[in-house]
Amino acid sequence: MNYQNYYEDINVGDIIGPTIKNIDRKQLVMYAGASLDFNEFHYDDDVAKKAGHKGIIIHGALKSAWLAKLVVDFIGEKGNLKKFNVSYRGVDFPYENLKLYGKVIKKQIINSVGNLELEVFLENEDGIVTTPCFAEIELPLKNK
Amino acid sequence: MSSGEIITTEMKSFIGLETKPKTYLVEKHSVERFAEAIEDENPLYLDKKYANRIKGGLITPPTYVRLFKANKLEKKFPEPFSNLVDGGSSYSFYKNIYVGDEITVISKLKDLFLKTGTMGEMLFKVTLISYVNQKKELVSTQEIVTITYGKGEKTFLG
Repeated sequence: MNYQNYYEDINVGDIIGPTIKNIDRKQLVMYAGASLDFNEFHYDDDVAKKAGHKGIIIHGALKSAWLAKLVVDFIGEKGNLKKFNVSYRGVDFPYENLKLYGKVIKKQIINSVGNLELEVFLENEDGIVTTPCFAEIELPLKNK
Repeated sequence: MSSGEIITTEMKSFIGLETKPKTYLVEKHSVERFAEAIEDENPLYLDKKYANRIKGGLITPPTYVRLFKANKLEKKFPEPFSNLVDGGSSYSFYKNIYVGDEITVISKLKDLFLKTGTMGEMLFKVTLISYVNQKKELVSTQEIVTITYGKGEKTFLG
């Protein structure tokens, strides 16, 4: 990572992303193994369908990991992630284009540190936000 | 049914109860596997030389704390409903978690309340999980909201 965002260069209303995720079953199995979440809703269609879904669903925590990555990449190596809140409003499915993006909603300097608040979203193919997030981050100041 | 009938005194007695601490060693390969599964190639998680220079060692992705599962309470919560939804998580990050750290996790029920929605009565549980490293520093917390509702066949969303 070579770039670094600085507090002074970021304005309220700035957009982060978007980036598109479209994952397959294998990725869900990989996440199941890596996170030790072996709930069958995430790899067995029959189990997911019995629960009323059209097929296997993406782990909520995997969606949060993607959304947190979007924020961490924006922060760069000199910034810090302080808070990250995620709400699961709806389920999402593999083999669909999911749009991840964010927006700067507030900025202020507190104790010589650049603090920003972000809203981050995961939107499904129908344009519905299934997974809204809120993040508080610190960005470095240029003259520090 | 009124709220009073669903949330019993016994349920309320679970608020504040802490699980026995459980300690995990943060392993390099586990972090690598996790980074691969979430498609995150940030060198702070993967490239030792780079991470040493920037952060003083390899660190973990923010949501990696999900792997540090707390022990269960010895007594079982008298769950009135059969369907479960993960409502979401609020993470606070205070210190980096490094590969090689020993992270101790404790979980406790913080709050319990009812709401009425399209699914009828829903029971909200707010659980606070804290993660402490080998230097006794609080590195992170996660507050999870789980929602249960309805009877009958078990379903799960999340």
